[in-house]
Amino acid sequence: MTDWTAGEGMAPRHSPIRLGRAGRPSLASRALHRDSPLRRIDYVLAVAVLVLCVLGTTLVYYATKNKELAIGADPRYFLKRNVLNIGIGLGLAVISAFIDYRALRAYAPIVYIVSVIGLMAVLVIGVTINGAHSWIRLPGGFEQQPSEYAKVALVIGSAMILSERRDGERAPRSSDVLLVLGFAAIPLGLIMLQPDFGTTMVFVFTILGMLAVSGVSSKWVAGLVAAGVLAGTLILTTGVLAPYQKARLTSFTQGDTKATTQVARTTLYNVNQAKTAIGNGGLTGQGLGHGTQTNSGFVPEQQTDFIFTTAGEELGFVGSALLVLLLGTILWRGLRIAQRAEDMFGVVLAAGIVTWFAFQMFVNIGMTLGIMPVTGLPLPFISYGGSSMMANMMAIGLLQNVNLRTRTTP
Amino acid sequence: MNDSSLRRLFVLRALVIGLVLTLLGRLWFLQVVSGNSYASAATSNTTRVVIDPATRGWILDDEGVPLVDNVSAYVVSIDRTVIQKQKDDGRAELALLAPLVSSGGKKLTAQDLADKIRLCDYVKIKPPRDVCWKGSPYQPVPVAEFASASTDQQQATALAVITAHAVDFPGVSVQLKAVRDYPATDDGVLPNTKLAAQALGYTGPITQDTIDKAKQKGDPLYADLPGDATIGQDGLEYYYDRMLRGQNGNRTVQVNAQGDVQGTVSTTAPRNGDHLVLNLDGKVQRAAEEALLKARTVYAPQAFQTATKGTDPNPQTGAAVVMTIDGRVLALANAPSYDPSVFLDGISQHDFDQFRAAGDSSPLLDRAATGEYAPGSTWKVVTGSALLSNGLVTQGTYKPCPPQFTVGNQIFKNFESESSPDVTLSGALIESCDTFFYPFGYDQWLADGQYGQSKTGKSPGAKEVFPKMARSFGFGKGTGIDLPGESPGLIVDRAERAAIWQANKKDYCAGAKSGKHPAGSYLQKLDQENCTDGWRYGAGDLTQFTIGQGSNILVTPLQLARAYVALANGGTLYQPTLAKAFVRPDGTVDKTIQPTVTGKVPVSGDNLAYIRQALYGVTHDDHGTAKGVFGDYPIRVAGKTGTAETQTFNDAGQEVDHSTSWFASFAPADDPKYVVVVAVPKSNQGALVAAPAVRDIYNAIFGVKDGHLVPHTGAFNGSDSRPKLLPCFRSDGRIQKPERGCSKADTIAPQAPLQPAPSAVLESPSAGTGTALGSVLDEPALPPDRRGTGSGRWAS
Repeated sequence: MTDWTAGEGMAPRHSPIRLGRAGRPSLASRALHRDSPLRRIDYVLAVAVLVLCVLGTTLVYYATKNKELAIGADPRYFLKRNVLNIGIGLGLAVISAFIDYRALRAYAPIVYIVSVIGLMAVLVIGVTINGAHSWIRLPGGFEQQPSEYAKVALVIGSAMILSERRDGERAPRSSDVLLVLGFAAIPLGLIMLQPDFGTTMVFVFTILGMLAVSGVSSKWVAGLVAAGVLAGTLILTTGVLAPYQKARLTSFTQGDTKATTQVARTTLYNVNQAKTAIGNGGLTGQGLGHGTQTNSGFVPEQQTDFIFTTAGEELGFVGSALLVLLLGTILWRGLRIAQRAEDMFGVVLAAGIVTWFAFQMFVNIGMTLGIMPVTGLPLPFISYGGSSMMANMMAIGLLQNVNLRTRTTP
Repeated sequence: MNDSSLRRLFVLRALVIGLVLTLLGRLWFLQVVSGNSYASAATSNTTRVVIDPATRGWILDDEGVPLVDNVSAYVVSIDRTVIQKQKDDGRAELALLAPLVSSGGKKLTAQDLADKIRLCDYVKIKPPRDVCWKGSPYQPVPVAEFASASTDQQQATALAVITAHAVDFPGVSVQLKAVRDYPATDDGVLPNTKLAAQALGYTGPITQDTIDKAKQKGDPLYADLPGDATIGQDGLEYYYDRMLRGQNGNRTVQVNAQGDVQGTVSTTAPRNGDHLVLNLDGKVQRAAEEALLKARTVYAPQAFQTATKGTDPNPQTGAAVVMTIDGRVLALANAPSYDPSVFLDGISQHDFDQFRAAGDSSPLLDRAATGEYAPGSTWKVVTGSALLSNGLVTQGTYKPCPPQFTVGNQIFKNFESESSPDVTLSGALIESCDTFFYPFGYDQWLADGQYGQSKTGKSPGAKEVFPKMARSFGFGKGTGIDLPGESPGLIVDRAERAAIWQANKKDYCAGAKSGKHPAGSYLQKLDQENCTDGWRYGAGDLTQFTIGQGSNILVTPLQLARAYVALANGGTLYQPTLAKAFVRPDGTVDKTIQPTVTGKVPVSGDNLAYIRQALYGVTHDDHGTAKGVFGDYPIRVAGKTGTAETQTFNDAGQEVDHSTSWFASFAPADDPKYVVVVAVPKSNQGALVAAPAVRDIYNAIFGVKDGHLVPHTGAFNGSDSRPKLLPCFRSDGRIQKPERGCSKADTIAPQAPLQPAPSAVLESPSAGTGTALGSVLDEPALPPDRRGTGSGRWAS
C-alpha cells in the first residue's frame, strides 16, 4: 500500500543502488532510492488534488462563461485566473512540502505574526465584499484574503505549541492548551471583527480537532465543546452578529413562510435556487455548459461559494458524488498521514488540516444542499479564489511534508 | 503517539466518513429521488409564457356593416419587473412618462400610472384609487394608448418622444394592438349613434372572480385564460365570447434570473376570432331606435295633450323588437341607450356602479329581453286562442260588451267605460272590448273550483285554460334568444300562486305586523291580505288575466314578439335568434345558425287565420283601435294595441297610475314576413305612442316616405325580404354586400385580421426597448383599408 504509486515496474523494490559511470549514484537512481523524497510523496493525495483542480477550473469556466460574455468580457477570464492561482499554489505546495521540518518550527512565529499583521491591515485598508471586510486589494487586480493564510498559520503554530513536550509527558499540559487558545484568540478576534463568521468557525473547529488529537484530557475537550455551544448560542441570540448574518445563518431552518426579513428571504431564495440547480442535474447531469440554472444566472456567487451547484446541475449525481469522494480522498490521506506521522507535531498538524478541510467542505456543500447555514466559505480546490487556493495548496504541501518525514515502512 | 491521540484520530476518521456519507445521501435525495420535481421547478424557473392575444372577431349586421370592429391603437405598456428594479421604484420614470400619455382621453398622472401597474394581490383597493393590475406580474401592463389614426399633433409628438428616447423609459414598450371600436352612424335624427348597444354588450378585462368561478365549475371557457384577458361581459359579446375571442397564441420564452428574454422555446400562433354576422339589420335597428326616441319625445307628449289616459308626458324608457316570421331578430332596440366604448378603457367599479344605479333610466338594460311588463290588450290574442281552441266561443259567437263587469265587490271597467253592441271575438279584438273577455275569466275561475285549492297549489280538476295557453305561446319562461340574462316573465296559475306565497309569506306577514308601512295604509293592508290569503287564486286575478292585466302576468317585449311570430306564421314557435353565421377571418364560413323551432301552439290554422284577420281589422276597421295610424298606410299592417295599467307608489305611499303603451303587429297582413313590437312603459295609450312608433319602423323596412311606398328606400332595397346570403369578406379586407354569392377569389384572403407582430416588442421586454420600439414603428404602413385590425369598410 505504501509505494505502489512510485512508478511501478521502473525499479524493483529492494534493488541495490545502481552506480553510474563515475561511481556515484545517478540522478535517476537517487530519485528512486527508497529514502528519496520523491518516493515518499503521497501520490494519491497529490493526484486527488490535481484532479480536483482540473475539475474546479472546468466548473469555474462554465459557471462564469455566460456572465462574462454577457458583459462583453473575456469568457476565459476566470479560467485563466484560476489556472494562474493553481500554478502559484502548486509552487507554494512544493515549497511547503520540502522546507525543512525544523525550519518550519522556527518560522512558525514569523508566519503567525505576518498573518496577524495581514488581518489587522485588512481592517484598515481592506475592501468589503458581500458584507465581509475581508479583502486587501493589491495592484494588478489581485485581492488577497489574509484570513485564508491565517488558517495555515493557525495549524502550524498550534501544532508547534501542542507538540512541545517535556520528557515523559504524554499529553499537553493545561498551560499549553491555554497558550494555544490565547495564540488563536488574536487572529480569531480580528476575523470576527471583519466579520467573517464562516472562517471563525473554521478556526474554532480546527483548534478543537487539534487539541483533541494532541491528547489533551477529555475534560478539556468536553469543556471546549460546551464553551463552543454556549458561545454559538450567545452569538446567535445577542447582538454580536449583524442582523444580516444572523438571518443568513438561521434562515435555512425556517420555512418560506416564516422568513420575515428581507435577508432571510433572499437567503432562502438563494438556497432554493441552489437546490433547484442541483436537483435539476439528476443522475447524470445536464452536461457541461448546458445547465439552464447555471447559464441563466439564478444561483448567486456561482464561481465561488456556490460552485458546487454547477457540478450538481451539469455533472449530475455521478459527477458531484465523484467530487465529494475526491475531497473525501484528501481527508482520508490526511488522516492516514496523521496516523503514521513520526512525531506529535506531524500528527497534530495533519489532524488540524483535515479538520479544517472537512469542516469547510461539509459546510460549503451542505449549504448548497440546504442542510447547513449559508456562510461565505469556499470549497477547497474548486471555488475560484486566489488566497483560498494558495492556503489550501500550502496545507497540502504541509501534509506531504509530514509524509516525507515518515518512514515508508510501517 | 499516545492512545488517546489514536482514539481521537479514530473518532475524527469516523466523523469524516459520516460527513461524506451525509453529503452523498443528501445528494442522492436531491438529484435522484426528487430530481424530477426540481427539474420541473428549473423549467418553470427559466421559462415564461408570453401571451400573443388573438384578435377578436367583428360583429356585423346582415349586410356586412360592422357594428363592432377593431381599430389599431398604439398601446403603451409598462413592464413592472423592470420598473421596480429601479432605485426609486421607477417613480422618476413614471413622472417623466405621465405627461406624455393619456388613456380614454384622460390625462394621466404619475400616481395613475403607479396605480395601474401595482398588483391587486398586494394592495387594499379602496375607491377612488381602486385601480390595480389583475394579470400576471410578467405580462407588461397596458397603461395608455394612442389612437393610430389620431391626427392630434400633441399625441404624435408624445409618441415620438417615448419611442425615440427609449433609453429614458426602460421597461416601457409601445405595441400596435387591436382595440374594440363601435363605428358610429349618423343620419341627423340620432347623431353619432352606436347601434344596438345592449344587444352587442361590451368587453372588458376578465376578473379574478370570473376565473375562480369558472375553475370551480370546471368551465373551460374562462378557466384557462390569462389574468389580463379581455372577454365579453354582456350581450352578444358575452354569449358568443368563445367564437369571437378565438384562441390566444403563446410563446414560451427562456429568461434568465433578471427576467431578460434569452430566446424563444416554443410558439403557438394565435387563432383569431370568427366574425359574427347577425340577422340584425343596421337600418332596421336604426329605425327602431329612432322610433323609440320619437315615441318618447314626440308621440308621448302629444298623447299627453290629447288623451285623458296617462300621467307621464315624458317616458324614459322603451323597447322595440323586429323579427322575421321564421324567428330571426332584425332589431332589438332599447331606450335609453349608451355608447359601449365607455367600457373600453376598463371602467372603474365606481363608475360602473353609478351607471347601473340609474335604475329606471339605466341605459345598460336590454329591456326588450329583460324588461317585464303587463302586456295589456295585446294579450287578447292569446286569450282569444284559448277561447277558440277550448270551444268557449266559436268564430261566430256574439257576446255583450257592457261598460263594466262586476266580480263580487270588484268592478272591472271597460276601457274608458265604453260599451258597444254584442260582438264576436273578432269584434272584441278590433274594438279591444275588455268586458267581452272578463266573464270568460270569471266563469273559468268558477269552473276550476273557485278558491278550492290547497295552500300547496293542488287543485284537482282545474283546467286553467288561460295560463295553459299562455305557456303554449312561450310565456312564463325565457325565449332562448342568444343573449345572456333574459327574463322569464310571469304567468301565474294556481300552483304558481301558492308557490309565490310560500316563498314570500314571511315578508308579507312581517309587513302586516311591524311598522314597515303606516298602520292602515294601503300597503299595510295589502301585506295583511297577502299574509293570510295570498295563496288564494282570486276570481279577480283570472278575470284580469284575460285582458293582460293584474298581478298574474308579465311578459317581455321579446316574448310577445315571438308569440306574434307564431300567430303570423301559422303557429310555429321559434327561438329568437340574433346570430346568422360565423365567418372565419379568412372569409370562409365556419358555421351558419338557423333559428330553432321550439314548439307549435295548440291552435288550429283556421283559428289563427281568424285572429290574424281580426288584427287586420284593428288597423283597418272603422272601430279598429289603430285605424288612425294604419288605415291609410301603403303596407297592409295587422296588429293589436295595448294599454297596460300599472301602479307605482310615490314617496307618500299614494298610488300613481301609469300606462304601458304597446303595439304588436305583423306585415304584410295577408303574407306576413315581419313582426314588430314596441313597448313604451309609463307613457300612454297603445294607439297613440307605440303604434306610430311601429309605423315608423315599417317605414324603414318597406321604404315608406310621407305615407307613400318608395321601395328602393326600404331596408332591403325594395325586395321585401331580408338578405339570404352572407356578406363576402374580400381578400383586400373589404366586405361586400350579400347581393350575389361570393366568388372564390373574393374569400381566399390571407390570415386577416392582421396582428402587427407584437413579438417585436416583447422579445426584449427589459433590456433597452429602443430597438424593439423602432421595429414596431418602422413596420410598413398597413394598406389603408386594412389599417389595424381592420375597421373593414363596407364596399358597395
